[in-house]
Amino acid sequence: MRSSFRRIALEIFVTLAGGTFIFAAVEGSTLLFEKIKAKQTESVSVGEAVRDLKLPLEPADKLLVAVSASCPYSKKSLSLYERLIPASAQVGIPTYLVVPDDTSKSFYQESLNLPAARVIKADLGRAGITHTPTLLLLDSNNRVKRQWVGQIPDSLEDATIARITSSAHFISRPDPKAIQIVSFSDNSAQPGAEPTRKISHADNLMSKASENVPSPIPTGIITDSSLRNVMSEAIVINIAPREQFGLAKNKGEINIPEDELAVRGVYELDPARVTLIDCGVTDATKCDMAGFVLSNIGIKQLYLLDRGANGLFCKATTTR
Amino acid sequence: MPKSLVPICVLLFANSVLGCTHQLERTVELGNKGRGAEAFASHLVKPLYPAPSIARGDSGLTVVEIFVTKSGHVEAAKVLQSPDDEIADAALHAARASEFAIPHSPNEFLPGHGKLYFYFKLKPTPHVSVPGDQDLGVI
Repeated sequence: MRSSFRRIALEIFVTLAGGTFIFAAVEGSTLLFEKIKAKQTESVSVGEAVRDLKLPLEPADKLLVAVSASCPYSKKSLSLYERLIPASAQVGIPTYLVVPDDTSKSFYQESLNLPAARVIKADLGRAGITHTPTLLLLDSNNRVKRQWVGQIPDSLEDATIARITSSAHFISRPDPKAIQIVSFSDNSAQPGAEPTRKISHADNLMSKASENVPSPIPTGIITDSSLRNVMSEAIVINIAPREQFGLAKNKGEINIPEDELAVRGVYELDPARVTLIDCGVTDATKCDMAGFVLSNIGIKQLYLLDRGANGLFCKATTTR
Repeated sequence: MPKSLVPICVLLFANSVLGCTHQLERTVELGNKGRGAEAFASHLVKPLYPAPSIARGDSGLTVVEIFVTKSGHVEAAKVLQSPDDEIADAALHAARASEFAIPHSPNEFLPGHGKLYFYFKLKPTPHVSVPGDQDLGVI
């Protein structure tokens, strides 16, 4: 009788211990997996350092170009890189190419005539680069100062080169048209393939409707000193999250995070004043959305400052 | 199947069911059409303008991020920005004392997450406004 109780107690103990162990193992591995997955799919933001890339710490800024040979938009960006890389080198900004595989490595190294040491094969997802092509301007500590995601439209190529190689800025009118662009997964990118996702558009920055209306401030590429003049007459809103605001703001800007714009814009902005949205620390899609929100609440004289790329891109897949 | 495996299966089953329910639980984003979380308040407590802040001439916006339970109580609140610490404390107390109703169906309410905006203004007399108040013009 006693031995049978002992056996039952032992069985209960073994069962509970085993159950707890399996439960903890399953739960723990799920959490760990989710954590790793989230980390890999999280894109690097302005102010953050790129992850897992063995980049040298240099005293000057550096340019990081993430491309893939299987992404048609990376290939279409070659003509821009052929101009951008030498122009950056002239002002002391070295370029590093980050590619996901050996095919991309040999293709871009030959096409752009870069030394092997400047072409790094890496897991883009781990580095915080979720799309190709991506341009990142990094500081001496490899922290992101500016980013351009997607193929840069022809109309923005000069502005992008000027922004990277000098302290020039770019002022544009918001595009009132929401023209669709498409993206392809890196693996499915085929000429003539059907679009897999619709995003927004930004090929034609200047609103056709406003082309003939005289602008109270200069548009296009402007110098730092011209920007100071513009800022003295305009309200400049930085839509970066609070924690990023201090990292890349221009003097005189006010911070209204993107998700607060629809509420605070109504009470804190004067519709009669020239309003600039500083898009220097955000991506172009968020910048366009902010323009849309402010237009909707009645801001008439609205401009975008340093709007980045919002071109076609491929999703960067994790390297196996 | 050995008897000892039965409880393990039960545990694993319960774990997966709990995991699924956790994922299914929705949290409503509080704020729409130019209004913040106050649009969902069944009882909004406005903060008092702290006397030391008035004496110092501190004014401006305080943003409080809140997490609301199904029952409408604020279970967590955090000040995201504030002109000074006294104003932050006052806004935090007011946010915690406020109650919300996030209806999903006639008998069901949902948990929510959003931001409360309190504008502490000194003129014409010291007062606190929230989005939707008539006196809240361009600052």
